[in-house]
Amino acid sequence: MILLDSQQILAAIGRSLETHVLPSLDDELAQTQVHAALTALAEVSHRLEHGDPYVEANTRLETGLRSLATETQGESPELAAQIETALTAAAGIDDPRERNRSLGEALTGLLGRDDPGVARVRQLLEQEASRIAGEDSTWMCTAAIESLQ
Amino acid sequence: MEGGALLDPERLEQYLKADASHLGVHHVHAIERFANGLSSLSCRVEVETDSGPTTWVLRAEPDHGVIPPYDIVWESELLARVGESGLPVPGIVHVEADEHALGHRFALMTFVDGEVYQSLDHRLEDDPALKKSVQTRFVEMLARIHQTEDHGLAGFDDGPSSARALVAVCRQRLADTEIMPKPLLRHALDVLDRLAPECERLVLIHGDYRLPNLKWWDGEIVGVLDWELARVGDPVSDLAFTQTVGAGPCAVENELADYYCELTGETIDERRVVYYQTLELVKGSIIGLAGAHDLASGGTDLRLLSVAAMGATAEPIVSMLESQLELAEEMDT
Repeated sequence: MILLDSQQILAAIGRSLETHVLPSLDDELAQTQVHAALTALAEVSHRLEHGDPYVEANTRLETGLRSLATETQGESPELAAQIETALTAAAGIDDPRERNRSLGEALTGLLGRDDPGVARVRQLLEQEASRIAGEDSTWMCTAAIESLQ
Repeated sequence: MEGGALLDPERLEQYLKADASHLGVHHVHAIERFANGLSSLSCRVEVETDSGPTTWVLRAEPDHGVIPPYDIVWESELLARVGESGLPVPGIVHVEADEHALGHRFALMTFVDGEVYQSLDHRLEDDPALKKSVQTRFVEMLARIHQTEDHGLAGFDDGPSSARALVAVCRQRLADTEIMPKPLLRHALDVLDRLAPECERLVLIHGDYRLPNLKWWDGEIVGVLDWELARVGDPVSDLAFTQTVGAGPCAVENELADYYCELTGETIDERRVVYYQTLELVKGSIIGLAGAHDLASGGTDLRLLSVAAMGATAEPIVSMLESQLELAEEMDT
Protein backbone atom coordinates (compact mmCIF):
# COMPACT_ATOMS: atom_id res chain seq x y z
CA MET A 1 0.00 0.00 0.00
CA ILE A 2 2.04 2.83 -1.40
CA LEU A 3 0.09 5.79 -0.04
CA LEU A 4 1.08 5.38 3.62
CA ASP A 5 4.64 5.41 4.86
CA SER A 6 5.90 2.57 7.07
CA GLN A 7 5.35 4.43 10.33
CA GLN A 8 1.74 5.24 9.39
CA ILE A 9 1.10 1.57 8.62
CA LEU A 10 2.65 0.49 11.93
CA ALA A 11 0.58 3.06 13.81
CA ALA A 12 -2.59 1.76 12.13
CA ILE A 13 -1.70 -1.83 13.08
CA GLY A 14 -1.24 -0.70 16.68
CA ARG A 15 -4.60 1.09 16.77
CA SER A 16 -6.30 -1.93 15.20
CA LEU A 17 -4.85 -4.29 17.80
CA GLU A 18 -5.89 -1.97 20.63
CA THR A 19 -9.37 -1.30 19.27
CA HIS A 20 -10.48 -4.57 17.69
CA VAL A 21 -8.34 -7.35 19.13
CA LEU A 22 -7.43 -6.53 22.72
CA PRO A 23 -10.99 -5.92 24.03
CA SER A 24 -12.20 -9.23 22.61
CA LEU A 25 -9.53 -11.36 24.29
CA ASP A 26 -10.34 -13.23 27.52
CA ASP A 27 -7.12 -15.22 27.64
CA GLU A 28 -4.58 -13.48 29.86
CA LEU A 29 -1.55 -14.74 27.95
CA ALA A 30 -3.04 -13.61 24.63
CA GLN A 31 -3.72 -10.14 26.07
CA THR A 32 -0.12 -9.88 27.25
CA GLN A 33 1.15 -10.90 23.82
CA VAL A 34 -0.84 -8.04 22.27
CA HIS A 35 0.52 -5.56 24.81
CA ALA A 36 4.05 -6.79 24.04
CA ALA A 37 3.35 -6.52 20.30
CA LEU A 38 2.20 -2.90 20.74
CA THR A 39 5.45 -2.06 22.54
CA ALA A 40 7.45 -3.79 19.79
CA LEU A 41 5.60 -1.82 17.11
CA ALA A 42 6.50 1.41 18.89
CA GLU A 43 10.16 0.37 18.97
CA VAL A 44 10.20 -0.51 15.28
CA SER A 45 8.51 2.80 14.46
CA HIS A 46 11.20 4.63 16.44
CA ARG A 47 13.89 2.79 14.48
CA LEU A 48 12.27 3.76 11.19
CA GLU A 49 12.53 7.38 12.25
CA HIS A 50 15.98 7.33 13.89
CA GLY A 51 17.76 4.43 12.20
CA ASP A 52 19.34 1.25 13.57
CA PRO A 53 20.52 2.02 17.13
CA TYR A 54 23.79 0.20 16.37
CA VAL A 55 24.82 3.06 14.05
CA GLU A 56 24.98 5.48 16.99
CA ALA A 57 26.43 2.82 19.30
CA ASN A 58 29.26 2.16 16.83
CA THR A 59 29.98 5.89 16.47
CA ARG A 60 30.22 6.26 20.25
CA LEU A 61 32.46 3.21 20.62
CA GLU A 62 34.73 4.19 17.75
CA THR A 63 35.06 7.76 19.02
CA GLY A 64 35.92 6.48 22.49
CA LEU A 65 38.41 3.95 21.15
CA ARG A 66 40.08 6.55 18.93
CA SER A 67 40.65 8.81 21.96
CA LEU A 68 41.90 5.85 23.95
CA ALA A 69 44.40 4.89 21.25
CA THR A 70 45.78 8.43 21.26
CA GLU A 71 45.90 8.63 25.07
CA THR A 72 47.56 5.24 25.57
CA GLN A 73 50.08 5.63 22.75
CA GLY A 74 52.86 6.54 25.21
CA GLU A 75 52.22 4.19 28.13
CA SER A 76 50.78 1.20 26.23
CA PRO A 77 51.86 1.32 22.58
CA GLU A 78 50.83 -2.31 21.99
CA LEU A 79 47.32 -1.66 23.28
CA ALA A 80 47.10 1.48 21.16
CA ALA A 81 48.18 -0.47 18.09
CA GLN A 82 45.60 -3.18 18.77
CA ILE A 83 42.87 -0.55 19.09
CA GLU A 84 43.95 1.02 15.78
CA THR A 85 43.79 -2.40 14.11
CA ALA A 86 40.27 -2.95 15.48
CA LEU A 87 39.15 0.46 14.25
CA THR A 88 40.61 -0.08 10.79
CA ALA A 89 38.90 -3.47 10.51
CA ALA A 90 35.53 -2.03 11.60
CA ALA A 91 35.82 0.96 9.27
CA GLY A 92 35.65 -1.34 6.26
CA ILE A 93 32.24 -2.77 7.27
CA ASP A 94 29.09 -0.91 6.21
CA ASP A 95 26.41 -3.00 7.90
CA PRO A 96 26.03 -1.55 11.45
CA ARG A 97 25.45 -4.92 13.10
CA GLU A 98 28.41 -6.57 11.38
CA ARG A 99 30.50 -3.55 12.29
CA ASN A 100 29.45 -3.84 15.93
CA ARG A 101 30.22 -7.55 15.82
CA SER A 102 33.73 -6.80 14.59
CA LEU A 103 34.23 -4.20 17.32
CA GLY A 104 32.80 -6.54 19.97
CA GLU A 105 35.17 -9.37 19.07
CA ALA A 106 38.12 -6.97 19.05
CA LEU A 107 37.10 -5.53 22.42
CA THR A 108 36.88 -9.02 23.91
CA GLY A 109 40.49 -9.51 22.86
CA LEU A 110 41.48 -6.17 24.39
CA LEU A 111 39.85 -7.00 27.72
CA GLY A 112 41.91 -10.18 27.95
CA ARG A 113 45.20 -8.24 27.83
CA ASP A 114 47.34 -7.76 30.92
CA ASP A 115 47.75 -4.02 30.49
CA PRO A 116 46.88 -1.05 32.73
CA GLY A 117 45.13 0.65 29.81
CA VAL A 118 42.56 -2.16 29.71
CA ALA A 119 40.72 -0.58 32.66
CA ARG A 120 39.85 2.34 30.39
CA VAL A 121 38.58 0.00 27.67
CA ARG A 122 36.33 -1.54 30.27
CA GLN A 123 35.18 1.88 31.41
CA LEU A 124 34.22 2.69 27.83
CA LEU A 125 32.27 -0.57 27.52
CA GLU A 126 30.54 0.05 30.85
CA GLN A 127 29.41 3.49 29.70
CA GLU A 128 28.05 1.99 26.51
CA ALA A 129 26.34 -0.87 28.38
CA SER A 130 24.66 1.65 30.69
CA ARG A 131 23.46 3.69 27.73
CA ILE A 132 22.06 0.62 25.96
CA ALA A 133 20.41 -0.55 29.19
CA GLY A 134 18.70 2.84 29.47
CA GLU A 135 17.51 2.76 25.88
CA ASP A 136 16.34 -0.85 26.09
CA SER A 137 14.37 -0.15 29.25
CA THR A 138 12.30 2.37 27.25
CA TRP A 139 10.93 -0.57 25.26
CA MET A 140 10.13 -2.81 28.20
CA CYS A 141 6.46 -3.83 28.33
CA THR A 142 5.20 -3.63 31.92
CA ALA A 143 2.35 -6.09 31.28
CA ALA A 144 4.85 -8.61 29.88
CA ILE A 145 7.15 -8.35 32.87
CA GLU A 146 4.26 -8.54 35.34
CA SER A 147 2.84 -11.63 33.68
CA LEU A 148 6.14 -13.46 34.12
CA GLN A 149 6.07 -13.07 37.91
CA MET B 1 -0.11 -23.21 19.53
CA GLU B 2 2.75 -24.38 21.73
CA GLY B 3 1.80 -27.54 23.57
CA GLY B 4 -0.15 -29.09 20.68
CA ALA B 5 -1.69 -32.44 21.61
CA LEU B 6 -0.77 -31.93 25.23
CA LEU B 7 -3.21 -29.03 25.55
CA ASP B 8 -6.04 -30.93 23.85
CA PRO B 9 -8.28 -32.36 26.64
CA GLU B 10 -9.54 -35.15 24.38
CA ARG B 11 -6.03 -36.32 23.45
CA LEU B 12 -4.83 -36.14 27.05
CA GLU B 13 -7.88 -38.11 28.21
CA GLN B 14 -7.23 -40.84 25.61
CA TYR B 15 -3.60 -41.01 26.69
CA LEU B 16 -4.38 -41.18 30.42
CA LYS B 17 -6.99 -43.92 29.92
CA ALA B 18 -4.62 -45.98 27.76
CA ASP B 19 -1.19 -45.33 29.25
CA ALA B 20 -1.90 -44.30 32.84
CA SER B 21 -4.97 -46.35 33.64
CA HIS B 22 -3.89 -46.65 37.28
CA LEU B 23 -4.88 -42.98 37.70
CA GLY B 24 -8.53 -43.93 37.10
CA VAL B 25 -9.27 -40.95 34.84
CA HIS B 26 -12.80 -40.86 33.41
CA HIS B 27 -12.76 -37.47 31.76
CA VAL B 28 -10.46 -34.47 31.24
CA HIS B 29 -12.72 -31.44 31.55
CA ALA B 30 -10.28 -28.64 30.79
CA ILE B 31 -6.64 -27.71 30.36
CA GLU B 32 -5.73 -24.11 31.07
CA ARG B 33 -2.24 -22.78 30.53
CA PHE B 34 -0.86 -20.64 33.34
CA ALA B 35 0.00 -17.21 31.94
CA ASN B 36 2.92 -16.68 34.28
CA GLY B 37 6.34 -18.27 34.13
CA LEU B 38 9.01 -18.16 31.52
CA SER B 39 10.27 -21.62 30.86
CA SER B 40 8.46 -24.91 31.42
CA LEU B 41 4.97 -25.17 29.98
CA SER B 42 2.61 -25.33 32.97
CA CYS B 43 -1.14 -25.91 32.87
CA ARG B 44 -4.01 -26.50 35.24
CA VAL B 45 -5.83 -29.73 34.38
CA GLU B 46 -9.36 -30.44 35.62
CA VAL B 47 -10.16 -34.16 35.59
CA GLU B 48 -12.83 -36.60 36.77
CA THR B 49 -11.29 -39.69 38.35
CA ASP B 50 -12.47 -42.70 40.34
CA SER B 51 -12.13 -40.48 43.40
CA GLY B 52 -14.17 -37.63 41.94
CA PRO B 53 -13.21 -34.24 40.50
CA THR B 54 -9.50 -33.48 40.80
CA THR B 55 -7.16 -30.69 39.81
CA TRP B 56 -3.65 -31.46 38.64
CA VAL B 57 -0.81 -29.41 37.24
CA LEU B 58 0.70 -30.53 33.98
CA ARG B 59 4.30 -29.42 33.59
CA ALA B 60 6.04 -30.08 30.28
CA GLU B 61 9.33 -29.40 28.56
CA PRO B 62 8.69 -26.46 26.22
CA ASP B 63 9.19 -26.25 22.45
CA HIS B 64 11.22 -23.11 23.04
CA GLY B 65 12.70 -21.99 26.30
CA VAL B 66 15.31 -19.69 27.72
CA ILE B 67 16.79 -21.92 30.42
CA PRO B 68 17.61 -25.23 28.72
CA PRO B 69 18.31 -28.05 29.06
CA TYR B 70 14.90 -29.02 30.41
CA ASP B 71 14.55 -32.38 32.08
CA ILE B 72 11.12 -32.97 33.56
CA VAL B 73 12.03 -36.53 34.57
CA TRP B 74 14.98 -35.27 36.62
CA GLU B 75 12.84 -32.50 38.13
CA SER B 76 10.09 -34.98 39.04
CA GLU B 77 12.57 -37.31 40.73
CA LEU B 78 13.97 -34.39 42.71
CA LEU B 79 10.48 -33.27 43.75
CA ALA B 80 9.56 -36.78 44.86
CA ARG B 81 12.75 -37.06 46.88
CA VAL B 82 12.62 -33.67 48.63
CA GLY B 83 8.89 -34.19 49.21
CA GLU B 84 9.70 -37.41 51.08
CA SER B 85 12.25 -35.42 53.07
CA GLY B 86 9.47 -33.20 54.32
CA LEU B 87 9.65 -30.13 52.08
CA PRO B 88 6.24 -28.86 50.93
CA VAL B 89 6.36 -29.51 47.18
CA PRO B 90 3.80 -30.75 44.65
CA GLY B 91 3.34 -34.53 44.66
CA ILE B 92 4.21 -36.35 41.48
CA VAL B 93 1.16 -38.10 40.00
CA HIS B 94 2.58 -39.36 36.72
CA VAL B 95 5.67 -38.85 34.54
CA GLU B 96 5.79 -39.43 30.78
CA ALA B 97 9.42 -39.72 29.68
CA ASP B 98 8.64 -40.41 26.02
CA GLU B 99 8.28 -37.18 24.07
CA HIS B 100 6.46 -39.04 21.29
CA ALA B 101 3.53 -39.95 23.51
CA LEU B 102 1.96 -36.48 23.35
CA GLY B 103 4.67 -34.39 21.72
CA HIS B 104 6.46 -33.38 24.94
CA ARG B 105 7.92 -35.10 27.97
CA PHE B 106 5.73 -34.08 30.88
CA ALA B 107 4.71 -34.69 34.47
CA LEU B 108 1.36 -34.48 36.22
CA MET B 109 1.58 -33.08 39.72
CA THR B 110 -0.82 -32.36 42.53
CA PHE B 111 -2.20 -28.83 42.48
CA VAL B 112 -1.09 -26.90 45.56
CA ASP B 113 -3.89 -24.55 46.48
CA GLY B 114 -2.85 -21.30 48.11
CA GLU B 115 -2.07 -17.66 47.84
CA VAL B 116 0.86 -16.28 45.84
CA TYR B 117 2.63 -13.01 46.58
CA GLN B 118 4.36 -11.16 43.77
CA SER B 119 7.80 -9.58 44.05
CA LEU B 120 6.10 -6.18 44.02
CA ASP B 121 2.97 -6.88 46.04
CA HIS B 122 0.97 -4.01 47.52
CA ARG B 123 -0.54 -6.34 50.17
CA LEU B 124 2.90 -6.65 51.71
CA GLU B 125 3.67 -2.95 51.42
CA ASP B 126 0.31 -2.02 52.96
CA ASP B 127 0.59 -4.41 55.90
CA PRO B 128 3.95 -4.30 57.73
CA ALA B 129 2.97 -7.16 60.05
CA LEU B 130 2.11 -9.40 57.12
CA LYS B 131 5.34 -8.42 55.39
CA LYS B 132 7.36 -9.28 58.48
CA SER B 133 5.66 -12.65 58.83
CA VAL B 134 6.16 -13.47 55.14
CA GLN B 135 9.83 -12.48 55.35
CA THR B 136 10.34 -14.69 58.41
CA ARG B 137 8.69 -17.74 56.84
CA PHE B 138 10.57 -17.09 53.59
CA VAL B 139 13.94 -17.28 55.38
CA GLU B 140 12.90 -20.28 57.48
CA MET B 141 11.89 -22.22 54.37
CA LEU B 142 15.16 -21.34 52.63
CA ALA B 143 17.04 -22.64 55.67
CA ARG B 144 14.98 -25.87 55.53
CA ILE B 145 15.78 -26.33 51.84
CA HIS B 146 19.48 -25.84 52.55
CA GLN B 147 19.31 -28.37 55.37
CA THR B 148 17.67 -31.04 53.20
CA GLU B 149 20.24 -33.76 52.76
CA ASP B 150 18.33 -36.46 50.89
CA HIS B 151 17.97 -34.80 47.50
CA GLY B 152 19.84 -37.24 45.27
CA LEU B 153 21.62 -34.54 43.24
CA ALA B 154 25.22 -34.96 42.18
CA GLY B 155 27.62 -33.14 44.47
CA PHE B 156 30.96 -31.39 44.08
CA ASP B 157 34.29 -31.65 45.87
CA ASP B 158 34.29 -28.05 47.06
CA GLY B 159 32.89 -24.54 46.64
CA PRO B 160 35.10 -23.54 43.70
CA SER B 161 34.14 -26.70 41.76
CA SER B 162 30.42 -26.05 42.24
CA ALA B 163 30.78 -22.38 41.25
CA ARG B 164 32.89 -23.19 38.19
CA ALA B 165 30.35 -25.78 37.06
CA LEU B 166 27.72 -23.05 37.01
CA VAL B 167 30.08 -20.64 35.25
CA ALA B 168 30.67 -23.34 32.62
CA VAL B 169 26.91 -23.69 32.07
CA CYS B 170 26.65 -19.89 31.69
CA ARG B 171 29.56 -19.84 29.25
CA GLN B 172 27.91 -22.49 27.11
CA ARG B 173 24.56 -20.68 27.19
CA LEU B 174 26.26 -17.41 26.24
CA ALA B 175 28.01 -19.11 23.33
CA ASP B 176 24.69 -20.62 22.21
CA THR B 177 22.63 -17.43 22.42
CA GLU B 178 24.96 -14.47 21.86
CA ILE B 179 23.48 -12.74 18.81
CA MET B 180 25.91 -9.83 19.16
CA PRO B 181 29.27 -10.07 21.01
CA LYS B 182 29.09 -9.28 24.73
CA PRO B 183 32.70 -8.52 25.81
CA LEU B 184 31.74 -7.52 29.36
CA LEU B 185 29.84 -10.75 29.99
CA ARG B 186 32.61 -12.87 28.50
CA HIS B 187 35.14 -11.08 30.70
CA ALA B 188 32.91 -11.46 33.76
CA LEU B 189 32.77 -15.22 33.20
CA ASP B 190 36.58 -15.36 33.04
CA VAL B 191 36.80 -13.46 36.33
CA LEU B 192 34.13 -15.66 37.95
CA ASP B 193 36.06 -18.73 36.86
CA ARG B 194 39.29 -17.36 38.32
CA LEU B 195 37.84 -16.12 41.62
CA ALA B 196 35.46 -19.00 42.45
CA PRO B 197 35.29 -18.96 46.27
CA GLU B 198 35.59 -21.64 48.89
CA CYS B 199 32.59 -22.27 51.14
CA GLU B 200 32.00 -24.05 54.42
CA ARG B 201 29.42 -26.48 53.10
CA LEU B 202 27.62 -27.39 49.91
CA VAL B 203 23.85 -27.68 50.09
CA LEU B 204 20.72 -28.17 48.02
CA ILE B 205 20.17 -24.89 46.15
CA HIS B 206 16.69 -24.06 44.82
CA GLY B 207 18.07 -21.69 42.17
CA ASP B 208 14.87 -19.68 41.66
CA TYR B 209 13.80 -18.95 45.23
CA ARG B 210 11.46 -15.96 45.13
CA LEU B 211 7.97 -15.08 46.30
CA PRO B 212 6.10 -15.97 43.05
CA ASN B 213 7.39 -19.54 43.38
CA LEU B 214 5.83 -20.04 46.82
CA LYS B 215 2.25 -20.95 47.76
CA TRP B 216 0.85 -19.75 51.10
CA TRP B 217 -2.02 -20.94 53.29
CA ASP B 218 -2.89 -19.45 56.69
CA GLY B 219 0.42 -17.61 56.83
CA GLU B 220 2.51 -20.71 56.14
CA ILE B 221 4.34 -21.83 53.02
CA VAL B 222 2.51 -24.88 51.67
CA GLY B 223 4.24 -25.18 48.31
CA VAL B 224 7.72 -24.50 46.97
CA LEU B 225 7.47 -24.63 43.19
CA ASP B 226 9.72 -24.49 40.09
CA TRP B 227 12.75 -26.61 40.93
CA GLU B 228 14.18 -26.79 37.41
CA LEU B 229 17.28 -24.74 38.38
CA ALA B 230 18.02 -26.70 41.56
CA ARG B 231 21.59 -27.86 42.07
CA VAL B 232 24.18 -28.43 44.76
CA GLY B 233 26.19 -25.36 45.67
CA ASP B 234 27.17 -22.64 48.10
CA PRO B 235 24.08 -21.55 50.10
CA VAL B 236 25.11 -17.93 49.53
CA SER B 237 24.15 -18.49 45.90
CA ASP B 238 20.43 -18.65 46.82
CA LEU B 239 20.82 -15.65 49.14
CA ALA B 240 22.46 -13.63 46.36
CA PHE B 241 19.59 -14.57 44.03
CA THR B 242 17.06 -13.07 46.46
CA GLN B 243 19.10 -9.85 46.47
CA THR B 244 19.42 -9.51 42.68
CA VAL B 245 17.37 -11.27 40.00
CA GLY B 246 14.77 -12.45 42.52
CA ALA B 247 14.77 -9.20 44.48
CA GLY B 248 11.68 -8.13 46.37
CA PRO B 249 10.54 -7.61 49.94
CA CYS B 250 12.20 -10.88 50.96
CA ALA B 251 15.76 -10.14 49.88
CA VAL B 252 17.81 -12.10 52.41
CA GLU B 253 20.15 -9.37 53.63
CA ASN B 254 20.75 -7.43 56.86
CA GLU B 255 18.40 -8.70 59.63
CA LEU B 256 17.01 -11.45 57.38
CA ALA B 257 20.54 -12.66 56.60
CA ASP B 258 21.33 -12.62 60.33
CA TYR B 259 18.22 -14.73 60.96
CA TYR B 260 19.25 -17.14 58.20
CA CYS B 261 22.70 -17.49 59.84
CA GLU B 262 21.09 -18.09 63.23
CA LEU B 263 18.94 -20.88 61.75
CA THR B 264 21.70 -22.57 59.75
CA GLY B 265 24.91 -21.74 61.57
CA GLU B 266 26.24 -20.36 58.29
CA THR B 267 28.70 -17.49 58.23
CA ILE B 268 28.45 -15.18 55.26
CA ASP B 269 31.43 -13.21 54.07
CA GLU B 270 30.90 -10.22 51.83
CA ARG B 271 33.19 -11.45 49.08
CA ARG B 272 31.11 -14.60 48.49
CA VAL B 273 27.98 -12.47 48.43
CA VAL B 274 29.45 -10.19 45.75
CA TYR B 275 30.71 -13.22 43.81
CA TYR B 276 27.29 -14.87 43.70
CA GLN B 277 25.47 -11.58 43.06
CA THR B 278 27.70 -11.17 40.01
CA LEU B 279 27.06 -14.73 38.90
CA GLU B 280 23.28 -14.37 39.36
CA LEU B 281 23.26 -11.17 37.32
CA VAL B 282 25.35 -12.80 34.59
CA LYS B 283 22.80 -15.63 34.55
CA GLY B 284 19.99 -13.05 34.33
CA SER B 285 21.71 -11.27 31.44
CA ILE B 286 22.19 -14.54 29.60
CA ILE B 287 18.53 -15.46 30.08
CA GLY B 288 17.73 -12.11 28.44
CA LEU B 289 20.03 -12.94 25.53
CA ALA B 290 18.41 -16.37 25.30
CA GLY B 291 15.02 -14.64 25.02
CA ALA B 292 16.20 -12.58 22.06
CA HIS B 293 17.85 -15.62 20.50
CA ASP B 294 14.66 -17.64 20.94
CA LEU B 295 12.60 -15.02 19.10
CA ALA B 296 15.20 -14.88 16.34
CA SER B 297 14.99 -18.67 15.99
CA GLY B 298 11.25 -19.17 15.66
CA GLY B 299 9.96 -18.40 19.17
CA THR B 300 6.55 -16.77 19.49
CA ASP B 301 6.41 -15.37 23.02
CA LEU B 302 6.79 -11.61 22.57
CA ARG B 303 7.27 -11.15 26.33
CA LEU B 304 10.83 -12.30 25.66
CA LEU B 305 11.56 -8.90 24.10
CA SER B 306 11.08 -7.37 27.52
CA VAL B 307 13.06 -10.15 29.17
CA ALA B 308 15.91 -9.32 26.80
CA ALA B 309 15.63 -5.62 27.65
CA MET B 310 15.66 -6.45 31.34
CA GLY B 311 18.74 -8.64 30.87
CA ALA B 312 20.55 -5.68 29.31
CA THR B 313 19.97 -3.61 32.44
CA ALA B 314 22.03 -6.15 34.45
CA GLU B 315 25.15 -5.88 32.29
CA PRO B 316 26.58 -2.61 33.69
CA ILE B 317 25.91 -3.84 37.24
CA VAL B 318 27.79 -7.07 36.49
CA SER B 319 30.82 -5.07 35.49
CA MET B 320 30.64 -2.91 38.61
CA LEU B 321 30.41 -5.97 40.91
CA GLU B 322 33.20 -7.65 38.98
CA SER B 323 35.44 -4.65 39.74
CA GLN B 324 34.61 -5.04 43.45
CA LEU B 325 35.56 -8.72 43.28
CA GLU B 326 38.86 -8.00 41.57
CA LEU B 327 39.62 -5.23 44.04
CA ALA B 328 38.97 -7.57 46.98
CA GLU B 329 41.26 -10.14 45.37
CA GLU B 330 44.03 -7.56 44.91
CA MET B 331 43.73 -6.52 48.54
CA ASP B 332 43.97 -10.18 49.63
CA THR B 333 47.15 -10.72 47.68
